[in-house]
Amino acid sequence: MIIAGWVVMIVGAVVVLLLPQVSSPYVLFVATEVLLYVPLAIGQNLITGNTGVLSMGHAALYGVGAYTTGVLVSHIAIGVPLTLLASAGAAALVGLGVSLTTQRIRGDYLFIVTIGLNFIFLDVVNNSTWSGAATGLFAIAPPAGGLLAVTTPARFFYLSLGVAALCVLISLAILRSRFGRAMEAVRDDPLVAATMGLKEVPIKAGIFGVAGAMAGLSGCVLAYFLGSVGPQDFNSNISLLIFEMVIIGGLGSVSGSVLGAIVLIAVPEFLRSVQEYSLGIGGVLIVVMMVLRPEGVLGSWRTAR
Amino acid sequence: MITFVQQVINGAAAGSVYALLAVGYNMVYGLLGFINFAHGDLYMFSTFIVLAMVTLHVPFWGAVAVGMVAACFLGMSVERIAYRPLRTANRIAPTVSAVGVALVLENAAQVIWGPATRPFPTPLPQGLFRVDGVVITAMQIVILLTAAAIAVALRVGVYHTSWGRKLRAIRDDLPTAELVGISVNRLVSSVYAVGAALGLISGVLFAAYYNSVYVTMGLTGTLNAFTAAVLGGIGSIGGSFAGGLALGLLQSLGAGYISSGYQNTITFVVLIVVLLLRPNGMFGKLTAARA
Repeated sequence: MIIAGWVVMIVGAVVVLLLPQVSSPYVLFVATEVLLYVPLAIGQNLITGNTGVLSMGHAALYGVGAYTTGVLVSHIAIGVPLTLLASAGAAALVGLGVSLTTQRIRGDYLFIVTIGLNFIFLDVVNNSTWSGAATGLFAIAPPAGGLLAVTTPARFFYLSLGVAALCVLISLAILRSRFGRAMEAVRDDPLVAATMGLKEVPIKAGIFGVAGAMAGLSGCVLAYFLGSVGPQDFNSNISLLIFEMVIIGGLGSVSGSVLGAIVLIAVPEFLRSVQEYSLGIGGVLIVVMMVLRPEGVLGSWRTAR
Repeated sequence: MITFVQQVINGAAAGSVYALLAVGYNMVYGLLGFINFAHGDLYMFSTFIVLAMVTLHVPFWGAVAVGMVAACFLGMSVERIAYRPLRTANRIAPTVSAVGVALVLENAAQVIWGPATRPFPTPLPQGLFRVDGVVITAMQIVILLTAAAIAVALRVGVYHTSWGRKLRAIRDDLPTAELVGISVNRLVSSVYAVGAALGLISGVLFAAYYNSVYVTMGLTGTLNAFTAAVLGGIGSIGGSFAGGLALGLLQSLGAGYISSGYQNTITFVVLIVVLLLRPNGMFGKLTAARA
């Protein structure tokens, strides 16, 4: 059984690594898009699935990362690694700040407030000159030379793969650590967690920071990948999409987040005929999921009721 | 001064629409402690049904009646399918399920009626009066009067009828209410029907006031109704009206004096500040935290 699992994983890894050599440019494009959503879904899952915080403004953190890259690239020539770091840092700070300012707001209230934060982000970028207002920023090109010079679709794929894999590993490491158990304790029973000396505020702020950093990385790669950033890439529909990935994949499950990203990006992309109905099909899936199997397809969240 | 009075009047009219939407929302929240995230999309969908009837040459009031029956039916079906099975589940499940319902309604409306903004023909009076340079439209008066009438009717309904007494019993203690023979499922169902009907009235007023119906008015409706409910105090009917009016005034004064590009920011900053200072809303009673 364990050997079979390893075989599947190794075969999967080989297929993914060889994808740029064997697939059409279109398939590669969709695969890159899926990989861009993996860090977003994982971050959202850490927040909602593992820490139990209802939040639906993830596109704002994604956008902070992308706009940081857009602004940096048009002002100073720094390489891709530094830009990745800066974008992750900026989005992590925003995530931390959001969590700390809203620490007294809980449950459903926080849900609406985070949706609102997405709207506030859009208002800001739509009305500022540094962000190119409604048209956004253009001509975001990575430098040709240097470390991580992403100039071909295949290199974009590998960069996204690297970022996604890093986020998966970080997420697994967090969940296996003391901090990860603290998060789940806060989710399952805040009162008991507090009695055990676990401090809810720094735990939540920390996880918003980590999820922000992951979203910032994705945003940075997206900005390079598209060559432009605009408000339409980070509206509340994107937040909703990320939220859906986590619900359908399974609250609290890392592999579920990856599955959710694949299902919600690749399936509508390849089945053009259902695209018109994809929103509603997602909605039906969410309701069915909640009523029949709240822990998701691959979820592990069985006990919390 | 004239600008100020004008913005206040515009804000009060928009706020009354929010108030009617917020009441339906608030009744459910007050009763079951659960956000009906699909409330705005229900209101959008049933307003589209009225528009479709009008397009088929059904007389306006007939179309509103059909819309109202459809809204009640939709509200009750949604409750039966997506919320009732989750009444005892963890706190996240029903909220998420409601998001799913909202998506289904939004997608259905998009497929049936398209993404474009549609004009809304109505026989409601469209004239306007000028008083010392301030423009008041007949629609604004209709909206304010309707909202006031419904506020009174609800007050009577909740505090002076047996239906209202049963509702308050369920709100205070659901298992005991069931024990003394109150048919909880039927009552909850009726609240969804009433909420959806009020949503329809608010949708028709909104559509007639702005002469437009569009798919995304669902989500903005949900957000505005929720903000209004929180401003006024979750679970309080009078608070819904106060919150709706306050929100309408804030948005219209903000657009007039600060910037129209930051309307959402103003709404949400106010919401956050209120939640930080008064976690139970301006008129909310102190209750045990619902985590």
